[in-house]
Amino acid sequence: MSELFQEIILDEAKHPANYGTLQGTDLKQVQYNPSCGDTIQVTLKVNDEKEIVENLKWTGEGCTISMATMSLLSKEVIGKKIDDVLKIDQQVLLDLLDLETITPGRIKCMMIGLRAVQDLLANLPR
Amino acid sequence: MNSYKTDFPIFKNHPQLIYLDNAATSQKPQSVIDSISDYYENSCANVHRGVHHLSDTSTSIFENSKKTIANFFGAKNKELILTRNATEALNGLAYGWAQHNLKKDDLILISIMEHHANIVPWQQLSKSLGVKLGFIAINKEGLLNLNDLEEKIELHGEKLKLISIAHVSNTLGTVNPIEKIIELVKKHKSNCKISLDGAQSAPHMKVNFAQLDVDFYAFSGHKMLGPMGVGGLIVKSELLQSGEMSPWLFGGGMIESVYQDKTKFNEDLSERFIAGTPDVASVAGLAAACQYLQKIGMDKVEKHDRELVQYALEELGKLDDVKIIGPLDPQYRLGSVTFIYQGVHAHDVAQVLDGENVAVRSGHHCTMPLHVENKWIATVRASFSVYNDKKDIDQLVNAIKKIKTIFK
Repeated sequence: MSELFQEIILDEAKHPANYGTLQGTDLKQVQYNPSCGDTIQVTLKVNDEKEIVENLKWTGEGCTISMATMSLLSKEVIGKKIDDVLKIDQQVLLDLLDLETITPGRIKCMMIGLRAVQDLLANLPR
Repeated sequence: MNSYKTDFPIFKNHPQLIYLDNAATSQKPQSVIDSISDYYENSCANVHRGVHHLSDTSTSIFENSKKTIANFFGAKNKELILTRNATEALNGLAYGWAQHNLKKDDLILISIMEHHANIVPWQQLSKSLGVKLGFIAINKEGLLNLNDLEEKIELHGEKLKLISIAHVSNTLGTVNPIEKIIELVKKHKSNCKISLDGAQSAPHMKVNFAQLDVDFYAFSGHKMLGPMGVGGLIVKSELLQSGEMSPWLFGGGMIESVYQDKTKFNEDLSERFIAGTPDVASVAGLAAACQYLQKIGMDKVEKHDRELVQYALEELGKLDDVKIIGPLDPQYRLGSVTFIYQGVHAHDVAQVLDGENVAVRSGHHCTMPLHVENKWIATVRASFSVYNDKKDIDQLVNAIKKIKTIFK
């Protein structure tokens, strides 16, 4: 428990990076966490060749884990190749959070932001 | 320690555990666990129609257990249809009764505080049958708005066919005034049927189906000290005898005779609704749970629960950052106290409490419409059973105080 609420995670949730909404893009996705009603809305822009995530902003309401993970993920994703973003998995998120493991009950909290980003990118009209 | 705690092996195996998630599922006393293993060790055989000795034994365990359960609820044996849980019971009401008796534009009234199990089946039926689904409002205190109900009964007249409502709300803890609802229905000479979702009332109060005078009552065994996988729908015998309530699951056991082109259902009402092999061990386990509760006495169970609810309301009410959800007056409340910790998400609260060995539930508790209506993202629920005591609530309060040290 104490590991889960370490300073880095609490800080990240309290001062989330890339928080907001990008204007002038149709790439928008709202994701729900069915276990608690948390929501995350992601807006993003990709380059003309549709190879790289140029920018991403997000807003959301949720627990420390979902907010901190989305914040860390947003920093990770910007500037990255879309194909690499689609390869991000649970382990990558755990590494970002500096956690060895997470209880099954919190996996959905951790994954909600990634689901939004990957759904958007996987369904890009390419 | 509460003396009942020693009857529950989970607390021997987890001596530090403060279990306050009873509205989700309760723990099971040794007698329930024993009755299940005893059945499999000594009496396992398929019920009914077997000629051999063991089948007879199994059948009589099943039949006697069913009688015990029906008796616990003040119902006739034939009025009890065994299901997996309250959810399946409410689906049975939708597909065994509503489907055959309602038509397009008929109205079903539920309330905004309902569990998804008492919402989604009706939404599905509304898609297939074109019946309408209306929501009775609640007031700021979390009590059913009876004026709103009366207006809807008057407005819809004969179109209103069913009022299906939680006996006790699993999120607000509200005990709904069933007598007043029946009074209103009678006052306006409505012929609508009344159904109670008893998942949260059966574990905490004496339920007498005959005295309640409702048409249907659904319950889950696992929330009332029984095993998972067994519950029931109690149906007024007139509705069964007239065939208005008919089987919604078909197969072996529930038939009188089967030909290539037709089937006659079992005349015996208590068998007509048992399609396939029943979960005999769980039914025996639930009967043992009923006996355990009856031995304590349901009046005593309710009194104990009311004391805990009142104490929790008082103690949680003293905490600055805690906002209690639902009625603050303990007379309208049973089973649980739900709250929001200002500025900290419910999952984070539950996680901190778990670190202090206090198990609570966080989320929307399968009452998403209620949460959306009130703009609550998620809430925390502490719910009680016979083995909880005031010390458990003290531990809960102490654990809540830790939140401030983590989320500064």
